[in-house]
Amino acid sequence: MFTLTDQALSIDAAYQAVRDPATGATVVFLGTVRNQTNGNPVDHLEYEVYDSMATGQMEKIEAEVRSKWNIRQVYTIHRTGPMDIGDISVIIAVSSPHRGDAYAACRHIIERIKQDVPIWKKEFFEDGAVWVDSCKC
Amino acid sequence: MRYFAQFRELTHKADETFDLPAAANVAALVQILQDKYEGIDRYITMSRIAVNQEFRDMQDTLADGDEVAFVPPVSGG
Repeated sequence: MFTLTDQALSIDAAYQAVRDPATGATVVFLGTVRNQTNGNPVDHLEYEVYDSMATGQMEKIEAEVRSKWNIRQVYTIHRTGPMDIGDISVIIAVSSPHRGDAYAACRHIIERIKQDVPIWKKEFFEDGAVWVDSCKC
Repeated sequence: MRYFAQFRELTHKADETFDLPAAANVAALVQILQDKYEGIDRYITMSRIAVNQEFRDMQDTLADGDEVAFVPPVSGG
């Protein structure tokens, strides 16, 4: 399942969303706002999203992980709008009977988000702002 | 057209509607945008094309009501 919000993210809510009796392992990934990029101090970020396409791309990514690994539930939530250093920008939770599949599926989802999901991050520095090029993050 | 990130900042719009000839392709729409918005070309060059929320190509034909967006390098997560 994939959802977007402009509110602060809850780790517990993500975990509860993937609880399943057949689960032996749950992996939860948090993406957090870092205080610097290439040595330049970051003041804050803003995220923008192409909602409908992001949802469609995430549906495809979920289908990919279900076809490659044995997972029970998957839940991804991405925050949009302005964010401060230390805020959680994304949570990906995956539950599986076994930890190998849970780790691999979770890793795959974050890597794929950074390839094909239309979400953009703008970094604000002391002396200006820049839309991040994904190769550098 | 839906405008995001650098495109939204350049055009000062979230979206815009264009009338194109029948069987026009994405390249024809790009030409209109280049004529209308100075400086848009460098953003188009760095971006992928999405038609109806799927990644597509410059040569793809557009249909009435299609939603087009340029997707600059993504940086979610």
